[in-house]
Amino acid sequence: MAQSQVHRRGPTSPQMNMTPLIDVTFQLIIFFMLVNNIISQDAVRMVIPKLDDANIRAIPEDNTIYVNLVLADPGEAERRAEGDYLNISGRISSIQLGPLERIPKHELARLTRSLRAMREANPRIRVLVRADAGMLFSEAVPVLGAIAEAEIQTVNLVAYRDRQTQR
Amino acid sequence: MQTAYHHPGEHEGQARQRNRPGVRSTSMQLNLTAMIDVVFQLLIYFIVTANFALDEGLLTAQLPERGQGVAATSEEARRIDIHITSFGAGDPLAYTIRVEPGIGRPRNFTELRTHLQQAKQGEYTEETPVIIHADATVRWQHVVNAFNAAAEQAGFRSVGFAMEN
Repeated sequence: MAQSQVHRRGPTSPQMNMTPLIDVTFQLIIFFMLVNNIISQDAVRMVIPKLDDANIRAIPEDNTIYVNLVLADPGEAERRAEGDYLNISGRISSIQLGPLERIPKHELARLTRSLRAMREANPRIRVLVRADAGMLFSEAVPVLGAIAEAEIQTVNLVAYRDRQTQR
Repeated sequence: MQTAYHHPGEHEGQARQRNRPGVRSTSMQLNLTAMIDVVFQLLIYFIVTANFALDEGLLTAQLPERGQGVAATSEEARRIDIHITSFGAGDPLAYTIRVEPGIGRPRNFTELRTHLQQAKQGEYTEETPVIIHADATVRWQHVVNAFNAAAEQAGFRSVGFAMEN
């Protein structure tokens, strides 16, 4: 085969240096993977209360257990209008304790048992009650009662921390 | 036509030719296109599925002790009751607030805070128990708002819920 004397292996094609692009892309992927894991840990989707002039404390990292009051109609959290977010049926169906344990609302004795076992294992545990802003107070009463039954006298109510709140 | 025999001499000859000065050696190039395709797919997936949670904070509340009656000390005998009543299921945003004994009827939770701050500067102390009584149909948002006004803003130490229903 006849070959050029100048370019022995044919003309060189221009090559883009992909290394920095791949570096940045991998960083982004790692970031989004970590962020996804953090959020889906034990947060049930709901609109928690927005307060008038809230100056409330940050949630501590350790010794916390979330008690999520899960709405009976899970689509309700998505469907409601922006300005009228309290206008839902406000009934709950179950309680999610921590990231895993789902307790139906008529089995509150199980919630008491689990919380008592947690308190005995770690006396400094903080119970965080996370409920939808539109939930009826009557739905919270038995759950708060079950927490009190486990001899936990202090509960922490979760709300948004933004300063300029809207009603 | 070449045979499939192994010719050691031929390979050595090629190697020698490649290392010969003046002949440029080809560097190995990895084909990255397929990997970048996959990586971008992953990136798009994680961007689309990521949802950022708003910053949440907490308020600390007291629950009544079960099973044993609370001894009414002189301070506990003087307590402040916040009654929240809703107008029913028709208008979930509507509520009325009444603060006993005789502290007033604030129209919203900002006024409730002002009323409670005045009460604390007057005849009540921060140790005075504050009990929130809410109707069954009062939305959780209003309960937490009343709680926020009493505990975090007016600065009462022991704010709790009445659980009569």
